[in-house]
Amino acid sequence: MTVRPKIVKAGFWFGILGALIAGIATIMAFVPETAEAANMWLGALVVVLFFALAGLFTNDGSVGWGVVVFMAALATGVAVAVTMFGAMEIWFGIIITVIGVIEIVIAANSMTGRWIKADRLVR
Amino acid sequence: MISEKKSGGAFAVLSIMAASLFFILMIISIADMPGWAFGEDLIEEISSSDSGVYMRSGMALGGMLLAFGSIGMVFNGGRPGKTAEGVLLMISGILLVWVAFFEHTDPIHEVALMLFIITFILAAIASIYDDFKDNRSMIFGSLTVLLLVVWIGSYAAYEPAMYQMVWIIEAVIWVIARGINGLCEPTINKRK
Repeated sequence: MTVRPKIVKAGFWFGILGALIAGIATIMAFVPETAEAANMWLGALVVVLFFALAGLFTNDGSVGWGVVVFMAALATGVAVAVTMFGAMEIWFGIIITVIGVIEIVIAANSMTGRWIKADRLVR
Repeated sequence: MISEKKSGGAFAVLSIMAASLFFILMIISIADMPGWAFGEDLIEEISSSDSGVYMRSGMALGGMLLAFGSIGMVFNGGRPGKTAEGVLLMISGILLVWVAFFEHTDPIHEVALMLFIITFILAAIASIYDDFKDNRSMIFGSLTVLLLVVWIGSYAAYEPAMYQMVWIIEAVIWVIARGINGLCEPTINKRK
């Protein structure tokens, strides 16, 4: 088992953080008076994408470098779109978007690329 | 021996100029029309008014510059994704000139606008393919993915008056980003 670089570990923890904040935003989007849960599904989509993104930064991640960067961009884009839709509070949306941009930078970093293409495969 | 010649930069500058010029003239057009409210009134209301002359000029000039700027993408040394992006952007640039020249009541305006949007989105998808192929320039590819997802989201979230503006701003950002991408990388390879 290889040692993950610090930047990859940061990518993992930022993914978890983004998912947790999105989870809180999803819970807060629930309206008890009407029991309306439609918006919560959109928040849950952001949670799933960020948890999946975090998983790609582990030693068990099975996809290539390009897919990791694509997933980071997709998760960030969905977070922005869901915020625009009004399915989560704008401040949560801004924080998650910032985390998403950090994830894109971490994912596109050459050290992350080298770890995914070579070091991750060494067991 | 293969050497790389960075002569695509001039074309990339044309793309940046296209987006900047269009955006500046659109802002002038909006400033010249005091009754128009951002996010409440449609952009067609400007283009069909007297103030619309700036915006239509911006569309025509921007379209021409975009079409010329795409030449650098077409001749790139055998990259199919980049070639497709260049050809599609060239078509969309020509269509934008049509959109500017024909009145918004004219059916040609409607058809040209629709085809412009389609070719522009296809160009964006082709650019994603090119950027992620061989992990070439993934930051720019990420930006395209992000803008496309936000583009879809804005369609679901907002009224037409608002999502029109979101699309225009996104398109301007994307064309400028592609221009910067063109400046960063060699576009024409020559075999000696």
